[in-house]
Amino acid sequence: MSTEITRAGRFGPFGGQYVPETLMPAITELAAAHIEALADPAFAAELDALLADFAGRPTPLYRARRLESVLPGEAQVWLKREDLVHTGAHKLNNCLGQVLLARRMGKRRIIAETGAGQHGVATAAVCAHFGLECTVYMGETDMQRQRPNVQRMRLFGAEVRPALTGSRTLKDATSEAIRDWVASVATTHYIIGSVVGPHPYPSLVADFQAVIGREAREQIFAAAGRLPSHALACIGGGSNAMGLFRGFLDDGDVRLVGVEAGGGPEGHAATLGKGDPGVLHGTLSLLLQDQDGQVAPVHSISAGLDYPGVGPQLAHLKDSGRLAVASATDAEALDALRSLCRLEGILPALETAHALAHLQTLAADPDADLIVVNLSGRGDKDLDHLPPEVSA
Amino acid sequence: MTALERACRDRRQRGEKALVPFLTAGFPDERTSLELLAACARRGCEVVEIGVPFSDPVADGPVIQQASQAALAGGMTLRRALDLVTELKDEAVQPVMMTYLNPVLRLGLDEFARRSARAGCAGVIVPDLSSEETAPLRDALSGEGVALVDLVAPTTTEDRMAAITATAGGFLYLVAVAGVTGTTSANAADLQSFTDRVRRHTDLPLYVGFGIDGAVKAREAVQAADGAIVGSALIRRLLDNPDSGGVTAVLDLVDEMLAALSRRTTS
Repeated sequence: MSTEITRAGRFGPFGGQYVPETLMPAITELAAAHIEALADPAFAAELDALLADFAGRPTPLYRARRLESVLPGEAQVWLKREDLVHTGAHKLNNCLGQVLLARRMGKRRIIAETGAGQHGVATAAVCAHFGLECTVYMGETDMQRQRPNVQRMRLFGAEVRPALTGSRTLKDATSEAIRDWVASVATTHYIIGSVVGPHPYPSLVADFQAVIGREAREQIFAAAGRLPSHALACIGGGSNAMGLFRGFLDDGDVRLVGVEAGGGPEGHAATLGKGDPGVLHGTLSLLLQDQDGQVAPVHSISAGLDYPGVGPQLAHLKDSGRLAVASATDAEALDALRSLCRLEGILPALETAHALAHLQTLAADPDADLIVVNLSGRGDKDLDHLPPEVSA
Repeated sequence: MTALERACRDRRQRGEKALVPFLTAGFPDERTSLELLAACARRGCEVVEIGVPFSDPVADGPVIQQASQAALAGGMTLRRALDLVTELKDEAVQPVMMTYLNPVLRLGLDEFARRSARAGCAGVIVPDLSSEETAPLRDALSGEGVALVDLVAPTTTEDRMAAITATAGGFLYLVAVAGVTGTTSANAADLQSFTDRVRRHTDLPLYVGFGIDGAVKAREAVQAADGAIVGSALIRRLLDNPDSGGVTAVLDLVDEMLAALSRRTTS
């Protein structure tokens, strides 16, 4: 039930394996390695030790009382502090799991795509830890707007290759990573950073991020004596959201809410809200596209949400009514970022700020009395590009 | 048996090797891409491949990416590419369309199959459709007499090879080397052993693509296989000759490659 796979790699109609034949054997090998690892107590023990000692888990669940005081209604708001994970976001949970799989498969070179740079930094960090060669693809536009993360990847010994095609953002970095992998698949493992891509990636990334929801479920129970009314997260590809939601999928009374990038006059990246079924980067999911099936240009102030696709399981959760989808604009996200700084002394990532922005709406719902928000990452990376009025 | 498979088998029967040129629909413009395909057909390329540009072509290298971007900017779509195929109806040619999956899904599988057949399309190649997911499209196309051409790669395992060849039709597309289009190809020995490995699974005509950059590589490919597919090398000539010289440059290369293929291959 917890992964709702109707057949191999399918979530309702979504998911599947839409990749060039050259990659299929590696993807099949990865699916087998994943299943083997799940059944191997030694794998779990090694991963748990790394999550504790290298990543710094468990992360706290923190009640944001001053934030509550400015919200409508009486809701308690609890922040799952993934921003405190080493390298500054939830991304490391997945990278640690996948790098262990890569080692089991004997792959000595790692590639990754990155948008905001958080997944790239986490990948570079695990590669440094294990002494593996690392190449990260990043859109040229994103390299400019997330410069500190480019510097961190290079410090960790990774090569950062700019994606110079298309919109020069996350979508194009992902395409470049796939092209690299097609040519290097014998020696290379591709650590996809979100719950996207061909099966088994959506399932295995969700499995490695599920630690967020497992911890949050226990912690909210210990703190409040019951389950939350709502679990809230931002959604780009959807890995932090799936990580939190996995803790509550079987709890039908816990409402799941995802917040996408509403953008601004330049466009949006609200795939679940406005997309249609389509195939991009190996999976059938919802997709922002034009009437001819070409992938549409998208926009978000947040590089991590600036993606026209979304994880297939999230598309299915939305279609089946389990997941409520909202959006927050660039401006609303910036306001929410500033509020959390002023009220709680926590600087969230711009991605995360989209989830926080939706609290203004959600907290006014009388049914929303206990909200767990995934504070998926910290915002130091965004300092260079915050508009002056936000930092003033 | 589809018309495409009949044509490819007959050609092999006659002892003739095939050269399959690939051109991106709408690059450098609609008219020129159509004229080039027709000119190739008249030179004896019985099968020609028409590439439908896609915004995110993950199986293609920089050359075809660049042509795709330019063609999309010029307004090329899957529907218009089908119109171009229609205009080849008077040529003695089997047009094969190469398209990524999403434009096909957007049009609808059945609608795409109907329009392909009506346009005179003999086959369809979808580089991002793994054999796990081909059944719905294969069924829709075969109902209209259009072949879905499968690809096999050097990384394809024996199990997968058996499964793919069990349902393959038309010809089988051998991806010569793990990589994207326009990449450096495999050496002659690797091509030979890859082709031999595929032959143990099927008697379909085998056409080799990826990294066939000129007459020498094409000739190496057909030492073992039944045909060679050339795309990026042709499009590079269009990119290198943005003036009217591009057409001549492309057809010169086609002529060189055809000459290399028609020489006796028993050397």
